[in-house]
Amino acid sequence: MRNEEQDTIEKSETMDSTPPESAVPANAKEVQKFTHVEALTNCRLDPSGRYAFAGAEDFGVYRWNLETGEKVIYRGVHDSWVRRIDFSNDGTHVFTSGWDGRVVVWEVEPETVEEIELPIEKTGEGRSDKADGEVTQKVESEIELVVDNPVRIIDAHRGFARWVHAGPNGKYVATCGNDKVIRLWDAKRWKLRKEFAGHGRHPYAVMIHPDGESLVSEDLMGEIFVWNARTGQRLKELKSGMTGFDNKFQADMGGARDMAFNQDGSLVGCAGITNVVNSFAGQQDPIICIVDWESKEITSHLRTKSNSPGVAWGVRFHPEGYVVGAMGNQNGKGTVEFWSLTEAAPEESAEVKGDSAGCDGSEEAAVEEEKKPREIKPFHVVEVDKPVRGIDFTKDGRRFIVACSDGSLRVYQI
Amino acid sequence: MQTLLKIAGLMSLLLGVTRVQAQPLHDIIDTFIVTAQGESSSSQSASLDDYGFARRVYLDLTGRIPAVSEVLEFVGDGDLQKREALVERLLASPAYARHMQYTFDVMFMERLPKKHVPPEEFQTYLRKSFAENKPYNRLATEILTADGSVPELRAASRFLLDREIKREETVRAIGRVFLGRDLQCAQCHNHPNVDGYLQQHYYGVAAFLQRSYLFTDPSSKVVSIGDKIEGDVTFTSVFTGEDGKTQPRLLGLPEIQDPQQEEQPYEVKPDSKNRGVPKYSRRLQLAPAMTSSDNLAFRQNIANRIWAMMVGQGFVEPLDMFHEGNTASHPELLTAMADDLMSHGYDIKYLIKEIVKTQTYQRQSELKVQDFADEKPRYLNGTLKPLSPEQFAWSLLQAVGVVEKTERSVIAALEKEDANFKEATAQSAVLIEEKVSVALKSQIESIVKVFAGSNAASRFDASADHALYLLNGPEVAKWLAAGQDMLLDQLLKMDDNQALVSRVFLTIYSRMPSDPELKLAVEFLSVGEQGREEAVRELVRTLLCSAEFRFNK
Amino acid sequence: MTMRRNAGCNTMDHHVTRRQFMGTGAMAGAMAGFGSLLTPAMAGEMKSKQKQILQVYLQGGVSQFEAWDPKPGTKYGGPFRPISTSVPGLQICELLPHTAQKMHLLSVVRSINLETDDHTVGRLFMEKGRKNGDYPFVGAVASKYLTTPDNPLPGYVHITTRGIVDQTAGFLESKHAMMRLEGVKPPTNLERPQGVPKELAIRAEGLRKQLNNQFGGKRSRALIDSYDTSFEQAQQLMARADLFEKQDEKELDRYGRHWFGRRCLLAKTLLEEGVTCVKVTHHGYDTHAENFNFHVEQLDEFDKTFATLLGDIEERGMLDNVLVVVYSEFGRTPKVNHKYGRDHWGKSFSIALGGCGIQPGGVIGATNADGTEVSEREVDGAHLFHTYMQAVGIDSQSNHALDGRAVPIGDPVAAPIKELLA
Repeated sequence: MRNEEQDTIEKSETMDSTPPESAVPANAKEVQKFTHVEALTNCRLDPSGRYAFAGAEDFGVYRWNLETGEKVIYRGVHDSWVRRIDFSNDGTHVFTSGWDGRVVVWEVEPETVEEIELPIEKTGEGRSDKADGEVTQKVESEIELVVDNPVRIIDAHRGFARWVHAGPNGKYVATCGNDKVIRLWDAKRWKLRKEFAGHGRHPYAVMIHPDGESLVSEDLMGEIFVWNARTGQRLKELKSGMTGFDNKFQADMGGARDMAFNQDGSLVGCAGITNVVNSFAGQQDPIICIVDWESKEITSHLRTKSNSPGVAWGVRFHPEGYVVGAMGNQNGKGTVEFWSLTEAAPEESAEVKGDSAGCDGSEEAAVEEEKKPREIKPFHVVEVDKPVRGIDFTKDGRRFIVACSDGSLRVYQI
Repeated sequence: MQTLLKIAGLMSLLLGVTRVQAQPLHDIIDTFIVTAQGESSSSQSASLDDYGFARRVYLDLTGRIPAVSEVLEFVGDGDLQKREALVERLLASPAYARHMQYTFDVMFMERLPKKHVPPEEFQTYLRKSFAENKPYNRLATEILTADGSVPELRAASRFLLDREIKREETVRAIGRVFLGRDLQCAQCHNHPNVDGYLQQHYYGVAAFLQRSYLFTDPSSKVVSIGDKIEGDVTFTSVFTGEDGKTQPRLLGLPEIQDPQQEEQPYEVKPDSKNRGVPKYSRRLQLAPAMTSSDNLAFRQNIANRIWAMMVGQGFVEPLDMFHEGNTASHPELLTAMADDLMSHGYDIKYLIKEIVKTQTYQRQSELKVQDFADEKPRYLNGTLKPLSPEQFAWSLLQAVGVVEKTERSVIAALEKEDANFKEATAQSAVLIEEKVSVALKSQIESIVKVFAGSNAASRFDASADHALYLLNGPEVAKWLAAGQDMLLDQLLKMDDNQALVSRVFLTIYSRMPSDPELKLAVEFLSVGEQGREEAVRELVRTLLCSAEFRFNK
Repeated sequence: MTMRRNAGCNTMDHHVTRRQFMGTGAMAGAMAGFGSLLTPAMAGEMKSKQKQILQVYLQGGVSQFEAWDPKPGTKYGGPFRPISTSVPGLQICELLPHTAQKMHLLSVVRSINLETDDHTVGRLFMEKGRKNGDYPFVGAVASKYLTTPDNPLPGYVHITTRGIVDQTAGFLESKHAMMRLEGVKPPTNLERPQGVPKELAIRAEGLRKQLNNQFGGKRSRALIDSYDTSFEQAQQLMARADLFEKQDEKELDRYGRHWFGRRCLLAKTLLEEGVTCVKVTHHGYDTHAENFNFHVEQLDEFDKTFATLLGDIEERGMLDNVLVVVYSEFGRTPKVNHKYGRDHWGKSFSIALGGCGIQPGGVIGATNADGTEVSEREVDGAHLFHTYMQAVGIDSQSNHALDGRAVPIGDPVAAPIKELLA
């Protein structure tokens, strides 16, 4: 283990001694940056807020200790990309779902961590080494910290296991995959308790409502289903418009790239795309749809400030009530954007490029003016120099992490 | 004047003539094509006879074949200047404006369906523009400037508005239509094969529109274009990962810098009720930059397109693939033509007239020497030009007698309305043409639909569907049915088979049959057990299906 | 390896003399058959002697990593795993499970380098076997040299919905150009109108040809020929309107009710009816963004349908006479871009082929460990073209016979891939 007294974390500036009372998005700044050699695909903060976990375009899952900067590699089990991570309610276990169809259970703080010595080939992984002296040795060995002994391996789906979500009270975990089914598992013994079939195309995300009674899922065609978790009955079917058929290439694109509940479960955010122009070139509009849980209707469309073509890869509800989204744009840049659901956003809400009837292709929506979702523009945007593929917040909402396509995991303070 | 001197100077160089004189464009063209290339006269085709000339100019200038009476009148006219006079007449006719409307509508709008501006309004705008011979740079300016907010100017905004200024389609359209360059692939990376198309070219055009957006008036629901003051274009190369940034610019010309931003940058601030009108709009820089004399590509492109329209092949082909690896067949001539057009105020009719006057244009498509197709055109023979879908539709309706019948009924109705109506005035001609077009609109559209096929490419695509339409289609059957007071009935009144065949040839081919053809066709009518009506009908249908009718020879 | 049975047909038997096709101004019109004089039974007999080609074109550039040349666990390998196939030792991507069971009927070429990343250049190179110049496509050449003279159907049919208008016949007669069928819907106006007796229609067709020959006599022929061909094709379609009847429901279940399934079912019918070259395009492989999700979609459609089609061809005993080629205009980059996409990669990609004249179960060439370049037996579109020709019994190293000019059928700078030929 590394010497914890060494301060080896790269900090862009020293922290203020008296932090402001509430989080202020306008003050968001990057305070830490970790890098990995491969692009990252998603990121999560464990419930304690101590660790950042991320999947990458290799088969590993990476855990960074935010305080010490130590990096631990979870590998040897998944043989495809891990695209979604979640945690047990008590925060002791981490669930990784991969495109190999497996969901793997690991410890957040494993007892056994192997130290593997590697000869150094290239420069260190992005951390400035502030250790004193000791530059005389020419060949240093780099130590990799590896965890390859999971608690459990579940062959959850045929084809990709696209999503894993732990429900409340430590009871159930939901997963979905390319076999088009949603599965509900006993959280302790991982026995399959229930299966929900009905999506015509691949479901991309599934979440268990904080009340434990319902599930919500979204598929490639932007169909959002709300299920009664006990009976399996479909309570609601919504066409979100978060999909598109590319006529030139004759293929569909869509589906939730991220999904989140707000703190009390009264809202669900689904991040993805709409208005497909040329999805093979990445030309479509990013969008976040907000579903009101009570009415089970989409009440808001969150659009990016510039409406630059791209994908909304992340959505989170901040404890102070606003919504945060993470974007990866076609032009090779990214943003983190902040929306207020309560204030009418200024003149900007009228300036939506394209069909202001929203992404819902159905004619009904165009007719029923009152039912049309509000088009909302962000009140603040943080520009990121690389596409952002995932975002997560600490519980107090004072810090967030983003995973980027250049392999960097960045920590921001607001 | 400068341009003419330049051209003349160039000519002097080529001809070894020391005296500088301003030569007419048509002479310059002929000299370039023949002398400059060192071509011998033996490989040039003969000139068109009067029948051939009539058919060609009617098709090229009015978009349809001539009526029999028109052919005979022209052929019988003894005036030595009759060809020029015919061209003047045709250019002044409303059919010219309509033909140019079709041609340029397809060029500008690629047969896109309506989005925010009715296609008919844009078409009417084009037609009026060509009827008044609006200078092309002014037409381009109007189309690139119209934002749809002013009702009188809204029609012109279809080019941008019905593409919803979506970057991919709009940049591509602007590049293809106004610069002769399809920049689409340059979106993600410098074109892998075309050295001349850089990402910077694509994004340079995009930058003009980056700050523009679609604005929907909350009360009228009318969609128009508004502008803001922020928005920059950045791009990352797929190949190199490098970042680029650009201000508005056209091709290799300098970037157009934004002026110092004022404290109050807006005339009208954008909000939910108003489209943004900044004091400085990048979008409004596009038209002047495009039509500027610095932008050679603009005038070369329109010269090339008009040339291709008339003689069947551009100096640069395809018309939207100008680049260093695809050089013009006659680069100096193209530039000379382009410069001359500009110096004549982008007068399209002038250019057309000059082209028609050339020997080059008036050559037959029959070859003197059977030659393998060269890679680059030499223009020593006329080029076989497939009729556009609209030309074919009008010619078909003309041949079977629908046009004349409709004209007669339109004139009768107008005379009934107004006892003083005079058919022969210029004003009446416009009115008659409008009414006939309206009456025939749906028939024209249905024929065009069949022959325009699934892509807007103008390249000739002969498919079995077209053949089946002509052979078996109910529409053609209807037009060739008896009892309609159209071509078939006319023919059935004629007992003399030779006279009948001549009439058929004049109607459909705009010429007299040769003796062997006469023999062949008369034999066709006489042999076999079918009734006379069936035989005549099939004779007509066969000529309508033949290559000579399908092409402008 | 099993010895392949020599089908015993001599290349020259299928050459039709030049005079019959290159009639310039002469009464060549009288020669060309129109309307069907062949009963289906005769057609059946004839088709068993004729070599044919089935081209399945995966438009846009299928990723070789996600198809024929997986690189599991390497830097660029991506998230998919390989699976074993019916050929011991040969693995392909897990996205092709049904095709994997049929790999004993196919061979894979993994070492193609076209030296271009451009769609059009790549596509034309793969079709013409030449990097530049106006040459006939595989289908047009096959149509010319393989079609028996009294075959009433067009020699080269392309079932697609995209409007890419390629000039496919090159310098060959335009009757060998591809006839495009839009999907599987039948052409309209297939029936002759009432009141046109058959005999009159025949004479009218003869008159049309004579007029065209006269008109075309001293004019450049390409446009006129292609217009002529469209009428000949119309006649052929009129005679075989039955081909477009509603597709059998059971068959649709087997092939898949999506567009690609329907098109492959029509392709099978056309092959059975003796069309010399049938090309089916499957769209949507140009995955600059979301390469992996899109390949899941597209290959899912492709896999089962193609395996069914290939299986049917084999089962009907046709595979000995039908060359099957699955190809794209290039492959995709090893590096995954920031949109989870792969971009164009003509440097090292694969195709699969089998059937007539091809040694099955083979792997020709290889790429290096991480799939960034060809490591052995590099070939390009010219070698492939030679190989296709030789496989169906056309001597690619001989010349086309044209008026006065001798143009080699295959590019002389390349040669057939001998290891592939049976």
